[in-house]
Amino acid sequence: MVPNLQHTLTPTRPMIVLGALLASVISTSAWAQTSSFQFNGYGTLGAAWSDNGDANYIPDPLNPQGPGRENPWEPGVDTRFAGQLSANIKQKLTATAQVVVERQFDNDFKPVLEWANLKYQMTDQLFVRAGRTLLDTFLVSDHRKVGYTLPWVRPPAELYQLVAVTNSDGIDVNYQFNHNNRSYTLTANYGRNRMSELDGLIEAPNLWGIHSRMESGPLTIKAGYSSYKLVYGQVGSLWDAYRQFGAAGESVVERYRSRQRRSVFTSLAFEYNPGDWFAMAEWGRSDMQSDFGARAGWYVSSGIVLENLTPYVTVARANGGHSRVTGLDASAFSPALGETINTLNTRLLDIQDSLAPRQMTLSAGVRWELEPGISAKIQLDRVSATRQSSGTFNNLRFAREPGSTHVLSLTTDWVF
Amino acid sequence: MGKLILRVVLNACLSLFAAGNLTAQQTDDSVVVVVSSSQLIDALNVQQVEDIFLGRHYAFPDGSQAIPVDHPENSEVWLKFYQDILGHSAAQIRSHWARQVFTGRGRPPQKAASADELLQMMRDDIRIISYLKKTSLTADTKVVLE
Repeated sequence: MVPNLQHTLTPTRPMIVLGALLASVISTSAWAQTSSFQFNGYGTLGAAWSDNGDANYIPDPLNPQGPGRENPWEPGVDTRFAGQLSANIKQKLTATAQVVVERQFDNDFKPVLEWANLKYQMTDQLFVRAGRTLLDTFLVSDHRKVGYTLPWVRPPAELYQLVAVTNSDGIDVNYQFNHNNRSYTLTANYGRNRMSELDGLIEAPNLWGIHSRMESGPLTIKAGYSSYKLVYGQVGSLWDAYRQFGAAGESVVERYRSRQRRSVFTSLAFEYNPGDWFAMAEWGRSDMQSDFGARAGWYVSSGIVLENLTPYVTVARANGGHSRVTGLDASAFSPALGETINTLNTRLLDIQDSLAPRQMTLSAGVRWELEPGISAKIQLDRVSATRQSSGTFNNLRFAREPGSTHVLSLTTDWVF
Repeated sequence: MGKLILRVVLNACLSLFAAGNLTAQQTDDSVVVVVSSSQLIDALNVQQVEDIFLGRHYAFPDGSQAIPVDHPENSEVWLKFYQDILGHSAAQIRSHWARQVFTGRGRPPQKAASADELLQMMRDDIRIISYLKKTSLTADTKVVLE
């Protein structure tokens, strides 16, 4: 999909209301004796290199620049800086705002409000948050940008790019209890994501999810189910074009459009971390509930702790979607329309391709703990797109043939 | 020459003695988990202490509230508590709290600057649970995990 690069910084109305609300509670509470402020930050300085001169490697679909065809070295894939201010307004009421500066969808490095919410701790076991939160979709989703907390340079793209919606403006409820020395956490969220930074490329006017997490000593098991109403703004013009062809065009739209339907995501995650080694595995399936089909991703990763060094290996794979589309049959129309129909069908195939990259990555790397709070990593990936897919690449010289690619990434992460 | 040998031997004996003393001191320096002596709780297991200090469950087994208090990060007693008693490296603890803080789930425990400050806090608040070197124990404290 060709994104519309006209960017608008206009915040949505709920964000303005929330911002004002946060500002007012923070400023009024500044006078109260009970309030306490805390400032924390994190960041990553990184560079990624690719040996592929025919395509750019794009591990995060919301960050459109990657190493490869244009620049073999690319610093903007993993580099980011973040600051967080939280305030205890009352004993049980906390306000949190986190701003992350990183490369955005329009190619600029600029700040975005990542978290902005009020949290009310109703009991020891139950809290409710209202405002902007990151979704708890995957095992490390809500802290995936805090590189220091990750064993790898970045979460495996094959799984983590399955869900483009990463945050929600709404409410979430978090219930945690202990039973037989096991800790259980249940969360439920409801909200929406206007993703104004994407300029209408995709919106989730409403979304909800339930997630459960069980922790028992070194073992964590997580299961989740989320449902998104997704609107692909850019696709609208394509549907309009198809409709010019009457009933046949309308039937293409009906089969592929997701406007009235919902995308459903299910996930299962496992982690075992006794301290001196770790093993992780995660699987997820996203069903667009249209002829674009379902896709699935998984990874398995393991590492061993040797003093300050933690070498690791990861295998990740993404499957699904289709390698062809059933658009309009040009033979049913006058030859003069053939070229137009071909263009529309090619565009439909491009969308299918970008929605469901099929790919496999083998990774090996080392995390080096320089001191508590600072780590450095080096990671080598071998990325292979499979079954006539463009994989997680853009700007391809040869469509759907990015070729096998080596990616080398160097990062240093910190938290304070 | 004879004096020199005598000095070397004396020095060797002295350093051996010092080393022996040091070993004895290290044994005394072992860290134990403590609550106020007025607490009804007598013993906790490692999992219960870990749940309180990692912010999973701020309560004693009887359901009453528990408030963990830490020593300064990377101090000797802090390292001994997290490494020897809970079995976690400093990096793991830092990573755990980074995850909690940057997802708005929680904050690390409050810190006492010294053993004396901690003991004062414990006298003021029966809900506090912390850890001390054995040599710092007083009548106000009760050991719940060694």
